[in-house]
Amino acid sequence: MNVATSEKRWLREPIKLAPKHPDRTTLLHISDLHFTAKARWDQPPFSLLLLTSGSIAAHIDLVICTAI
Amino acid sequence: MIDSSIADTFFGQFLRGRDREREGISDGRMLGSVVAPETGLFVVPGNHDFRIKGLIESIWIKALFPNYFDSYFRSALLPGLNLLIASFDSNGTDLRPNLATGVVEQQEFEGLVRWLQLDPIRGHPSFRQLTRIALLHHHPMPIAETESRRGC
Repeated sequence: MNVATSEKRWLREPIKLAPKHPDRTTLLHISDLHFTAKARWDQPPFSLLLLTSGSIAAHIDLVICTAI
Repeated sequence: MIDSSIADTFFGQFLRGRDREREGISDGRMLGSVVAPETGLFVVPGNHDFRIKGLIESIWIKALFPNYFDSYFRSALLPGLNLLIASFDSNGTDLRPNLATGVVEQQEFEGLVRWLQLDPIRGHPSFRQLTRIALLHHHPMPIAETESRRGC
């Protein structure tokens, strides 16, 4: 069993989130960011990721990140 | 609490996490310190979060992910969004170098079964209508080699 695998991550209580728009749910899925402490977030590609995600943040209900 | 700026918060934490470089964490994964668990954020670990260059088992790297993202590696009902999200660790525990092969260990499924049997989950009024999403990183299914596509 890996370090991050634990029982407590199976939440018993629902998470209360309401959709930003009543007729749809919007997910932002990102993966494999592959950054380290030395990553420059003020330079591409990470700065572009920030710019893009920031511009659509008001419409996103859930951010899903599969692999940091 | 409904978070009004999920992505801003999410990436804002990454940016603030850069400060940790000055605190002495200068290599490996930069891992943002995490915001309140009620934000709409789910994170599952990938091979680079547990292994050096994603290949070699590393206890040191393995310890970083739960330190910073433990509260976001989670499975939950989100009835307001009509979702059920189950998160899986697809990093195998094999000590040998791993070429990005996804493995979901038996304990993961046992945890899922126990969770789905809980009254607050199975008994929730919206349970049967929810859209169900499984999150994992490298998937356990084999991938066809590109060479096999020649002549297709």
